[in-house]
Amino acid sequence: MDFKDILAEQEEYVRDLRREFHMYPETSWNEKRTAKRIKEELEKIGISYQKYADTGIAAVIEGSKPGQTVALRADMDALEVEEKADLEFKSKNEGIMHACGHDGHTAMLLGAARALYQIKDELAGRVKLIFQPAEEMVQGAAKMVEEGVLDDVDGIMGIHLWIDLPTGKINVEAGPRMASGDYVIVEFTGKGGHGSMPHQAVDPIVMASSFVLDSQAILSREIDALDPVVLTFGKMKSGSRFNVIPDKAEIVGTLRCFNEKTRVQASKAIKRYAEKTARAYRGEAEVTIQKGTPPTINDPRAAEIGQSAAKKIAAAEDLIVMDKVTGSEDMAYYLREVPGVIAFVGAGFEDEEQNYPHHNSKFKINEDSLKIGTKLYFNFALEFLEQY
Amino acid sequence: MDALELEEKNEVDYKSENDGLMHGCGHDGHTASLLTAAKILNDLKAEFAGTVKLIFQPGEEIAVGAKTMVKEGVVKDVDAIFGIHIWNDLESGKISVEAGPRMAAVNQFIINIQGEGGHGSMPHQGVDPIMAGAAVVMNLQTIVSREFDPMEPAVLSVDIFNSGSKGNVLPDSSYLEGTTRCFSREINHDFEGIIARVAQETAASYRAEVELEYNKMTLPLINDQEISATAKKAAAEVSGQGSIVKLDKTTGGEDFSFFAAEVPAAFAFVGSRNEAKGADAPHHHPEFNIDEEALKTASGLYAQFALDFLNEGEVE
Repeated sequence: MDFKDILAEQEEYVRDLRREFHMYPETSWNEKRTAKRIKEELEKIGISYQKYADTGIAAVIEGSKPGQTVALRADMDALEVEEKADLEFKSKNEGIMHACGHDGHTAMLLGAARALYQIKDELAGRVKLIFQPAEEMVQGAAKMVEEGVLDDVDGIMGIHLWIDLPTGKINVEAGPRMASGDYVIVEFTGKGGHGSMPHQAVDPIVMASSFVLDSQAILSREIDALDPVVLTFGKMKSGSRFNVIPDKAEIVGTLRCFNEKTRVQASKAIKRYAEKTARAYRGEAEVTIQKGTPPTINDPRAAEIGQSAAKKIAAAEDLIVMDKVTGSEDMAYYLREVPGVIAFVGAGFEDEEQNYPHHNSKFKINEDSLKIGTKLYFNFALEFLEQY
Repeated sequence: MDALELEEKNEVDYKSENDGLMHGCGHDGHTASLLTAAKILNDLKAEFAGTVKLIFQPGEEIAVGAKTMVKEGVVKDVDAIFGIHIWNDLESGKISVEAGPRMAAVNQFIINIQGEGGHGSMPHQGVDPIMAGAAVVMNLQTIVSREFDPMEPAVLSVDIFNSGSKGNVLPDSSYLEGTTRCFSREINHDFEGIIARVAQETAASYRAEVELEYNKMTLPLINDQEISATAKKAAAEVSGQGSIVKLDKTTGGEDFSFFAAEVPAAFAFVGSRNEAKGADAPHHHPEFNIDEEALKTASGLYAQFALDFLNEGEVE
């Protein structure tokens, strides 16, 4: 059977739905209208669903024959950004904007669901649709996993519309794709005193400065040179007056890694450097590493399936390789549980002037990317159930 | 002449009538003693050759009064100068007026480090001003230990380091502020240039740029050998040889140093501490009070110094 017509029928539907979601963006954990609309659309198609993680939804399309269960994931939430893009379907919710493309993800998954439902008699296995809240707070996926959304799932695929890729290009690659993101907070405690009598005090600014410098050697001396790690301290606060030695210095930073082992290794080294450096200056350090997202790692076999799905809708030269990025994505929580992939679907304009980074108040996607994403969801499900 | 923004907590019948203001450092005593000395000297003016100039100076606590009076020419016709601090760290009845460095030069520095902001996960696209700032803090520590004569005390403290807003955003600048203290005029002269070099070159190695603001608040207060000897003699005449004691120099500052930088000078500490009379709180404390006996000593010492200095001049 030719699926082309079935898929072509979804194009307008997906575009209109995405524009609607774009007009009514909702922040993380407040995706109430979005959830209501998703349920309405699923009901129209005839797919039953279940509530997960408060505003999240999971729905299953049962094939006629037994087989594996493949999950397709879309995120739903928007950002606290005042939209400055000039669009006829500009945000109607003040101070909130779909500035990352999640409106497209949700619309594409509903389009793919409509198409898959039409061919369900030909499916060997089940397709699970996951609509997830609170990706921007990197909490939604973890919560859905905790509530068991993956318990019956054999593999998963998620899409990110990606402005840094021109529309038409697709990237599905095995291995680490996005970094882990952990907060590193170090509080150095010395002893306050008068700036003119440093010997009576223990200076926490010298301690913190020494640590900021020395800890860079973790990257260059302790971590495998082939394994990228980023350690940035973005904030340092200490002191109140030019002639008063403060008693504390606080620094806050971010640690980015592409595999769990390195993440643990680097965290331990940071703690050791902070504590030992503080000791050397007669002070103390308290290190808190607030764990954020794990690294997002694509399974090799699932990536192969993703590539063969992509080849069905794109020319070989449009299936490109792309460097992994140091940003984070909570898709990582699913990929830790079951084999799967995150695919990057190009959404950039040919005219560079129109491309603004994700999260920018002028961010917009090339709508031609929507049909590509819809097809990729659809084809991945078919390929996975056939091949895996 | 000036007082402090301090709510007086003493229960005395001459307690401050001005809300939130208090003579918490003894300047009331300095002014009264100098007026008393003026009376004495005026009575004796037939007996000395020369001129006694009385300087009543504002704005000492913010270290601008002396500087401004010097600029306006107050010491242009002056051959020597003598100042007194009534001092609660010294027992009432004791006087210290040693030659050499007595109080430190107080300087404030502000270092702005300009990098280039970016995302914390992509440090290569920015220039990290926290890294550069940390390196500046560390390298500044070597100035005192590596560039100055070990016999010359000096202090450099970075007391404020502020930068950034979030752990994962690379900020574009860092703000450092601190103080230097020293007792040598040479070091005080060189300090600014050395800090500028260390900060600029260090930041440059991290691709960042530096802007230094350096504010000389007080100069080293150095007592002249001869003037101190004259003052010591006057002190012995007023309070007896046994009253003269030695007191360590302090890292605090005094703007009398701007006069002392212009003309030969001596600065005396006149003891005012008397626990039995409840005069034992430190300077700038809301319960600061002095043993009023110190006023007699200070008045006499001012007058005696003037007479002795002018009479010595006559002998020459």
